[in-house]
Amino acid sequence: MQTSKWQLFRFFIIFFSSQTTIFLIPTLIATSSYQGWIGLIVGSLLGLILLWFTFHVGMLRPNQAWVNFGKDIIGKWPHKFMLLMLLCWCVYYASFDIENFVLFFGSNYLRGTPPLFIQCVIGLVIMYTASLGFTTIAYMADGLFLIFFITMIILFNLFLPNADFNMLPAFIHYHDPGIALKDSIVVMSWFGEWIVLLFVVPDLKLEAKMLKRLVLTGIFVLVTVLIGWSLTMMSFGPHLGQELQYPFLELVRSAKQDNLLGNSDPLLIGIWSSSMFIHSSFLIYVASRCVSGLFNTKARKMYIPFLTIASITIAFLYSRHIGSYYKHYNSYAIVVIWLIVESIPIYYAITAFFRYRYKTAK
Amino acid sequence: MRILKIGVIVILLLNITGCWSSKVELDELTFVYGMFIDEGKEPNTVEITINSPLPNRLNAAGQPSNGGGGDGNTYSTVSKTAETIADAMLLIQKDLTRQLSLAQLKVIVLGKTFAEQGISELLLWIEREPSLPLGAFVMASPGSAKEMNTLTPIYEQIPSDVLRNFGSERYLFSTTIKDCLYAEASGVGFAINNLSFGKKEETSKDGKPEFWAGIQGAMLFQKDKMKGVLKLKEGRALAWAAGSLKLAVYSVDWDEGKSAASVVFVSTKSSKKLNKTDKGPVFTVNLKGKASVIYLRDPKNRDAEELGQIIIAKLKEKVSDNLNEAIRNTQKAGADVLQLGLLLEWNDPKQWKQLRERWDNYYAQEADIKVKTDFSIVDFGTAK
Repeated sequence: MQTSKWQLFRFFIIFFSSQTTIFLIPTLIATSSYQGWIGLIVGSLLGLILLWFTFHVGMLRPNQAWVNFGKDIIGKWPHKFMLLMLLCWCVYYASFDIENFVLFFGSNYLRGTPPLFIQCVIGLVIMYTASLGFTTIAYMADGLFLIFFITMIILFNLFLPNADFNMLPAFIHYHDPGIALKDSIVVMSWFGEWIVLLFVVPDLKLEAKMLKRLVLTGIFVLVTVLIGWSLTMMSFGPHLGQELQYPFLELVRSAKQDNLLGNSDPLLIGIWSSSMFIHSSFLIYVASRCVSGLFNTKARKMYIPFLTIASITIAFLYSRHIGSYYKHYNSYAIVVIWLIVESIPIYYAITAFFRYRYKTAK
Repeated sequence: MRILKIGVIVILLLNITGCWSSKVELDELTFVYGMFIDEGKEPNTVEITINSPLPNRLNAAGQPSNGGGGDGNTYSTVSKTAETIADAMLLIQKDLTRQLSLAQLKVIVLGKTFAEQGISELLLWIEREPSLPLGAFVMASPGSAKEMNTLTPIYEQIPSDVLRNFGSERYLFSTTIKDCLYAEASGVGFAINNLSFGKKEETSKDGKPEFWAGIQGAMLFQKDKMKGVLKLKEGRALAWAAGSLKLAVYSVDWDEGKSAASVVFVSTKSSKKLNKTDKGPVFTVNLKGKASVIYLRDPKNRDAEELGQIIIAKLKEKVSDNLNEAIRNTQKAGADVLQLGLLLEWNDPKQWKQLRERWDNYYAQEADIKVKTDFSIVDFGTAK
């Protein structure tokens, strides 16, 4: 794959923004009202620790895929167990993506359309994109990044007149350490999905100087979410804000006239849907690499339809039990599971540290 | 494989042409422009009236044409009563040949008795109805909301357009559904335009009476309940303080009425401040304005500097009096329309924690609110 210096930067911005901008903000407003910014900043910095460990593990053998060399660090069966855990996480996460999409469109635009139909259509798109591999997904993200960047600037400008800046002092006056800690951990689970970085190899070779750009990616996503969070807060406040499912869409809905803001929802939805497709496709791609690692085969593509069907099935079951979907999606147990999976590189890094303490990695 | 791929793409593309059962053609829809909500005649019922344009009665130039039956109006009105808003909407839908769409809603008018009972049911219904624009204006009728629908839209095509323009032109308040939701959730108050309704002297071509509507002041709410009304003068000062007033014209006189001036404010701004004192919080509402003199009578021929000082002093006195009176009335009614509770929540969490539970009472009886004005004259018009 031919690559430019900032390709990973653009890819991961799209990968992370798809979920954080739409779903993290309402969660954060509901739990920590005015002090959400503390959780955001601390949580994303904690996420960078996971990045450092992931990068460190990746750099042990920058030319080889972690799926292949992982067993040399922690042993064959522990490595297989990790792969299985990661595989389940990817499929489960993709099912959340799909169900989020179904709920979003089902409640706003496609009322009456059977969830299974939307799930199958999305599933086909995800399956096809995932089968094309990382290179194609990365190029798609490249194209989308430019539109994403411009859209965000336009949208934030349109949201500005609705914001009540008198609220700013409240951001400083409210600081409960307990809430801040809890929210930081939640945010860390959203900003800490760096483990997927290990799957850009062998399409892309990891280099030492990439770390700086990846840190910048984390900061860029943080700033985007922070601006989105503060504009939502200043427009709706914590009391109304916590009652809203999709605050950005409500901002568009609350435009006084048929002006630019009132008609900007296709822009918002277009960007979000495409970035969500990239997110889910990459997850399914990662899952397929895990399966091929588990069974020691090179046939990756043939697993993709099965993995996608698994995701669709979970999403379908959730769409039949919406109550349990919301319960699971917002539960702290999910945050803990997410963090356990996202911390996989830490286990490898620590083991590698003790094993290769006195000799350099080969 | 290639054929399979192309096949899948074609199937997906075919699906983009329309959605599933939610597929509705434009000519199968009725767009509701205005909703008028009253208390029903029987207890615990609500009466909803909708106002929607009739495209079959409009020709290309937007003028009434002779298509369709009825009295030749370019809009239709349907009214139903039921126990809940959702039920009433269903009853309306049941009798229509087209599907109702709330996506183009411009204005919601609340009847006085409905407002007094509380609008929380309406707000809860709106929150979960994604097609309804939160930017629609909310206004109040001094009597029944339904009668507002009978006004003659002289400059516009349907009554809802007239009412919508009262909001968008910012003659007084331009409160939207979002503002109501915000105030209700935050536990503070809000104000909406209180409309007036009357019979015109002239009659229509057919000899039928014609009605007009205007703005007579403001209606005050605390959370979801109507608490009182304000007259136009105080309403304007309050709208200025709330940051929604665009058109502000004031006239003052001095020399025992021999000299007089009228000004139009080309810029109206406001700010709110909280000072923490030992005696409790002190709120300051500051009105800022840049005035242009549009009428001046001064027999003593004073110079511009002296005149400017006199006019500004008189304006400050008048506007401050109006605003003080307005704030007193909101306190009497117990409606924190300027949302000072939120200002306290934002700036002094400790104090807010103590007052939060009894804020409504505190605002009505103890809140210390000061008014400041800061005006300047930008020009004296085109005469010397």
